[in-house]
Amino acid sequence: MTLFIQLMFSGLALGSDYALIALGFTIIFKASEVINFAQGEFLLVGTFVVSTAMFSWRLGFFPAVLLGMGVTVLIGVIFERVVLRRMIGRPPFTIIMVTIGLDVLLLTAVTILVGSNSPGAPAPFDIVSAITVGGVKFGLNALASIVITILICVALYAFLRYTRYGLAMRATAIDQEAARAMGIRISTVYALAWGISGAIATIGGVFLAAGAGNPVFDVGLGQGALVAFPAIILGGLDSIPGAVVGGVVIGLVYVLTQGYEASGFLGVNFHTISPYLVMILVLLIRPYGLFGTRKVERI
Amino acid sequence: MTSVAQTPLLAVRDITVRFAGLTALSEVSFDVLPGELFAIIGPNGAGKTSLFNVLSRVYRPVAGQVTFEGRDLLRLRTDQIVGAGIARTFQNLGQFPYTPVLDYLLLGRHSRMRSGIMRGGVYVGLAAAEERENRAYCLRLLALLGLEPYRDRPLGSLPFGLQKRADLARALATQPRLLLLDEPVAGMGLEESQDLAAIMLDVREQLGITQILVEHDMAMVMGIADRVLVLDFGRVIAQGTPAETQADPSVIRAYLGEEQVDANTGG
Amino acid sequence: MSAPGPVGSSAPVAALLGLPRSSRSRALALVGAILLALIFLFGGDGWVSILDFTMVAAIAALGLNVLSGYAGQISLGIAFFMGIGAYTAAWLGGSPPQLPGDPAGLGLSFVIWLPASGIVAAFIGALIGPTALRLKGFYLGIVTLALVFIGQYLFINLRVITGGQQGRFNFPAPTIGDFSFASPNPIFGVQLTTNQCFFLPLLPLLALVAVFIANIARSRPGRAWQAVRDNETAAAIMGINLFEAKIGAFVLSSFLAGTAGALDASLSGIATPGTWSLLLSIQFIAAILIGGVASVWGSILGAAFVFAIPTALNTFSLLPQNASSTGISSGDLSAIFYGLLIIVFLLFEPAGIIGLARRIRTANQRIETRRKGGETTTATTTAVASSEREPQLDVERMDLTRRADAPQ
Repeated sequence: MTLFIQLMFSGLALGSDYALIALGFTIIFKASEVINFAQGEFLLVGTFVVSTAMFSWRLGFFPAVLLGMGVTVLIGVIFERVVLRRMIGRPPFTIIMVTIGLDVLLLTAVTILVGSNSPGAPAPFDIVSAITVGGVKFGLNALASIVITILICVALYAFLRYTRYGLAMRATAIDQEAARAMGIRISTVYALAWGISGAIATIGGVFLAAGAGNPVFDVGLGQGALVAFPAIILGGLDSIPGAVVGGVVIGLVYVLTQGYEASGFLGVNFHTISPYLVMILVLLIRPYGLFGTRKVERI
Repeated sequence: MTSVAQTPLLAVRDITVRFAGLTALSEVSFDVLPGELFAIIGPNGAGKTSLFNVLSRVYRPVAGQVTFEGRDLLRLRTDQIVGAGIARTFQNLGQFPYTPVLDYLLLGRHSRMRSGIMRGGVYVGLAAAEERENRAYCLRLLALLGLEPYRDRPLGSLPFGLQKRADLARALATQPRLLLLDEPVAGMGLEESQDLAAIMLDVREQLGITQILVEHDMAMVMGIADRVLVLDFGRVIAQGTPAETQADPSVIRAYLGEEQVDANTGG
Repeated sequence: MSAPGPVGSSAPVAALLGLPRSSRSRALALVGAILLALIFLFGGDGWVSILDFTMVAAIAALGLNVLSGYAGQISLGIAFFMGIGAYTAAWLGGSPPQLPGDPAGLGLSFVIWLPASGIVAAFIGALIGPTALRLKGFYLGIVTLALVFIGQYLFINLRVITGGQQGRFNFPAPTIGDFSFASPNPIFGVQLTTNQCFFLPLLPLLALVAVFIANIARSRPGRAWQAVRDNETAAAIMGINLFEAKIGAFVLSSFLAGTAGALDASLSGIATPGTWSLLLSIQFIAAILIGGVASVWGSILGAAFVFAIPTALNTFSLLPQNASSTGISSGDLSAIFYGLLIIVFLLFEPAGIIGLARRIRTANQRIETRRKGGETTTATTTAVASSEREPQLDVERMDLTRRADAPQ
């Protein structure tokens, strides 16, 4: 039972990281119908900047995170402005591919910059610090990631619901032409979406790295973030609550299978595929995810 | 005028289509007789294209039957419709901007050709013979429609009127017995429209192909159609010869209403 | 983007064999052939090895181009199917286990394991296809991404066949009688290296695959794929069975990937689960995007670009000295390069290197025709049409020319 509670907690913590990553995808998709394949590497870049700022430049955790967010926001906005803006109206295939190009670029850039001497992994608290209640260890970083995710969700909800720009984003997501006709500047909405998504990516990346318990910065972080794909598919690409629910579910599935696979009959590393198996199962039943909307064919 | 005993080529009975609570078509029924040039008209959003999408099995009606030559159309998949003898032109072009005109016509021959991956890959022999025959067929069709000079041009590089004509050629290449024309003259100039109307009359007189056209352009419809079906808000509001429907008060009301809508939205 | 089929060729035999038709491209092909021969004979084993691996990669790139380039179905799963092919070959052709822990091997001939590796991959493709292809665009991309991870899991865990995490080494080499393609051999008195031996069957195999796909592209199934790629609903309305078109592309693509995987493993003599990773899939996507989507030559050029250049840089230490000391590997350098090129090509020339070449060629032609005073090509096309055997079809009854003169 202790093991189960422990795993549920870890799953929730990891799930909240995935929820953040999934949110990044969904915000961009809702605003501009672009699937950003490079989202995982946004995490990597952001976390790398935070890590470098903390360990090489001796900045505090919060200034470092702000700096990391600044960099990912900048990359996102520039990429949208310079590349994606010119690709409006191209087939989705082409647009996905161009983000794969960005993915390769960012990953390689970080790989080269890291070189052979990896900096430490950034985290708000020491990675071993935890509160123990009844034999269950509640890691401080894990607790922080759950709290921060909830705060971000609330902030995002408030932003979309009560601000002018949030309203503009929602309107654009529903009907771009109509939004344009109402005087909404679509380019601002796109930039906003990429900016928010970039900022969330850095936060998600830092917690994902901290949660992994690896004291050293890991270039494979972006690859690990790919598990957010099953999360957004589970939730349906265009649903923000779906992204959060999907992220948490996938986090739980991942951690629970990891915790119980020690029994051995499923072989090594079964947890690396369990999220995908869950996703395939869901897609068999609902091809547009649990919360996604089906489109009517037009001809 | 038309004889009562004649069996219809296409019989549509009580077709109803709904999307998420919105009723696009409501209990639509009509018959199309062999050799007829049948027009479906109605204001924007009346359900004309939805009706075509039912006939080409893109939309699934919640109720009703469609029979073509005594065959239940609703049992077929979208891609089997062409094989059943019904071809359709597209209202909006631009789906295949890079396809050369001749290849586009060959797509029309698709259901009449047999080569699969193995035959196509080997090419020599069966596939080559089939290609040669069908290319020849399409080239003659291109020549008949005056499209010969454009055979290797990508569709997207042609002026709109020629694209429409190439699309009609592609539909004719399937050798249909029923041709569905989705707003064939929309966006065309007067001269181009008249050319196309002339082709449609020729297709009927010389090939005996039955045609259903969905059209916005009242003048054109009244000029060439044998019979007209008027839709408004997904319902049939009138059916008959052009003269009969033109005089129908409910039709006049529907169109007056539409003009107001047009004026409000700016076209 | 769609490859225009050779229409009314002046040399039907050349067209049937898929040979280049214009004198310019014939000259190019000749130069290419001479270059290949020179590398083969005098280039040294290192270069021949690079050629071999590039040809294997080109077969897989052709496979991916069938599915993604021609049929427009996004796939990140090519590495998975290559892995399936590699381990099938290893199991069927590998030597039987000597020690208790050794992976299984049946020791069969390459006449069996080479086609079998393709067929097993195709079979698995046929099993997965119907489910995967119900999904569109991004969803399909993610399901094929899942395949790569599922593959990694299987390749690590199915030790009896794969040898587990560290992979397996007892790889089959194609042999005919006493002649092994994987060891130095004399041919007609000339001593050939291993890589030169491998080159001999690989080149015709690649040529065969290339011609096969070029032929499909210009006939019924290829046209259907491209129509499905451009607009599924419209394609279905035109009478194309979407499922048949997509599953055909999926199975053929899997077959080619499996074959390439088997050849790759046989050539390198080792297969580890890490080889068949997401990175490999992305490299193949880069290859077809840079080389040319929906183009046979594009697949080959793209494979050379992505796979040959980094190896060449490595093998011959062509990197500047200071670059290697700062820890930039040739792999990183080429990744930066192709990552950037994907973006640049998609922005400015979506048809890749081939599109670039085509554009230069038409620009040249335009300059030439302007110089000659602008001849039109309609004369030749009508001649071809009238020389064809004319089956009696009902359009014959129609005379539309009177009214339907094309507006000029």
